[in-house]
Amino acid sequence: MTWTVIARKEFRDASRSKLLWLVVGLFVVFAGGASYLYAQIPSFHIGGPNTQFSAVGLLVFLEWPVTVLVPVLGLLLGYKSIAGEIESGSVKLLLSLPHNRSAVVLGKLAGRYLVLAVGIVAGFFAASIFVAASYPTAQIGASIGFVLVTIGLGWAYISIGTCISALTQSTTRAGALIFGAYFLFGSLWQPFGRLIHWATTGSFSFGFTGPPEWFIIFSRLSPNGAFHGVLSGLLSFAKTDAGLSAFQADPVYLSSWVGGLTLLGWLIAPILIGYLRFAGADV
Amino acid sequence: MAAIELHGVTKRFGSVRALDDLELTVPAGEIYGFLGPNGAGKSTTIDVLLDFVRPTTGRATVLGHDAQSESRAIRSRVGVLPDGYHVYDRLTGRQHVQFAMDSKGIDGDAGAILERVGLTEAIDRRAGGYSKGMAQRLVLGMALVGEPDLLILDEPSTGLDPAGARRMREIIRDEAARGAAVFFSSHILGQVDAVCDRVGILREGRLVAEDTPQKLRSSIGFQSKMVVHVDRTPSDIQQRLSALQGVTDVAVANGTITVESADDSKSAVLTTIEESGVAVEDFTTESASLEDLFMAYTKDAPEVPA
Repeated sequence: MTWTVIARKEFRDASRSKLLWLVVGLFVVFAGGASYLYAQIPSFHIGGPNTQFSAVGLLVFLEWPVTVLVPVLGLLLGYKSIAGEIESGSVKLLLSLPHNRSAVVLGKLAGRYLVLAVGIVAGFFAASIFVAASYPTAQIGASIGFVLVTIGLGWAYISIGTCISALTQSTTRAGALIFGAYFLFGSLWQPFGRLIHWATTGSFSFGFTGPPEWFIIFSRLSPNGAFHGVLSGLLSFAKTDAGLSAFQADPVYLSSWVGGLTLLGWLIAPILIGYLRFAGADV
Repeated sequence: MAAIELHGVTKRFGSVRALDDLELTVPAGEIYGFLGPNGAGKSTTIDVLLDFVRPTTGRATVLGHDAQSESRAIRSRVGVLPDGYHVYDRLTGRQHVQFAMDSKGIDGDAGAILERVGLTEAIDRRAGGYSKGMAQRLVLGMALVGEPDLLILDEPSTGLDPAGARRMREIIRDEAARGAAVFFSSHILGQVDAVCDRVGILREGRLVAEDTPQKLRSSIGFQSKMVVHVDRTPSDIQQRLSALQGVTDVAVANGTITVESADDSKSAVLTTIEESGVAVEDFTTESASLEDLFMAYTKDAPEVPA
């Protein structure tokens, strides 16, 4: 299948990007540094269901650096994938060879997915050196799960970046849009939800009852929200996190499965949109 | 089965008509040169053949396959040197050729291909560091992979020095000798003249002339240009020479008279000059070049930015 040929080329090409390895290096520092910090500072050991020095608590703590850096990695890997080739003209070399445009999109994704996975695993591996040293009771299952979901988050952002790349066909516009996407799905998503709440109720606050159902569902719709949803189930603090003391059982929309499906949706839908645009475009 | 066929192909980009009802056929095994000024639509024609752009109306086939619906089949049998390409900076030359071979499912020796195009030393260096001429050779090498039935070359001598351009022409001849058709566009007329079986001239998206280089030359009304060095230029000499049969243009300057005419009118021209009492000090003749031909067909074309 020709997409494998393209995937290999993409992997070779993307893995030589200095910027990429800088971000991976940052991730290693963050994850390693966070692990170290967590072990040193007792007051950080809150929120997790277990006692201090818990490996699970560390994973909870690591969620924050992951959601800061992994989207950057994914978006950087995605934003030039199509626009860069069209702008520079290297797409002409690629499409002079017998590849369908679908193979081009698939191959680029596969190659870049692999680069990200390698980077994340390398980052966590480096961090795990600290874990092994400081945490006598390592939670292997949860840790592996955490790494896999982190890779899933990164892949979703590669898809988003690639979609933006295919839609804009310009690296400068794509660069601006991934900047926007990063903040929209990151720090601006919840405030945006609050804005809607204010528009419909006249108040920013959620009061005694806590956030309404739709707000919680909305929170879990962004890639970061979905990631959080999967992790919650994985690390089982769903109830306390959502402030849902009033509910008897975990509602289905808080489950890991829904979060996982949402993340999968963020992986697939942008690609379809991007492919349709690229397939019909003059290059 | 023709190598290339274009039937009524029109391509509009917004309000600009890049190709205008283009009709063109290149038989199998022919070397066809595609000439035209900048902006004539040469690259757009090639873009249509390769499905980089889709025609607004009309149909194109390459090696019997429809250019839009069977593009992948075409691109597995065709070698392309496109215009406005960019190499992959972080991959080496060898990796580029290997990628081309893998893409076409061929085993081969990347080194041998690169040797043929004259790229031996830099083969394992990253292509980002290549000069324009080296990159051009590299992409030509990629086009030659797998002995394609048709070579489509867009401005192939760009960035090549005379030695490189000559090697390019030799490669084109060798490929044609092997049985491949070659379709290449250029505005370097000397290159086209030297190798083509037929030449087509494109202007504003339409084919305005198409024939062998020899026949094209004779069709524009002159075959020779004579520059006659004289001691003086009487005021009526231009009129008298223009009146001669077979003379298409006369230009009088200080000390020279330049006459464009058919071959067998040359002696009449010289006789007329001498009969007006002018002493001929020297004269040179040159056959009409493809450049003159090109200018004759395209001189009314508006200036189009590259």
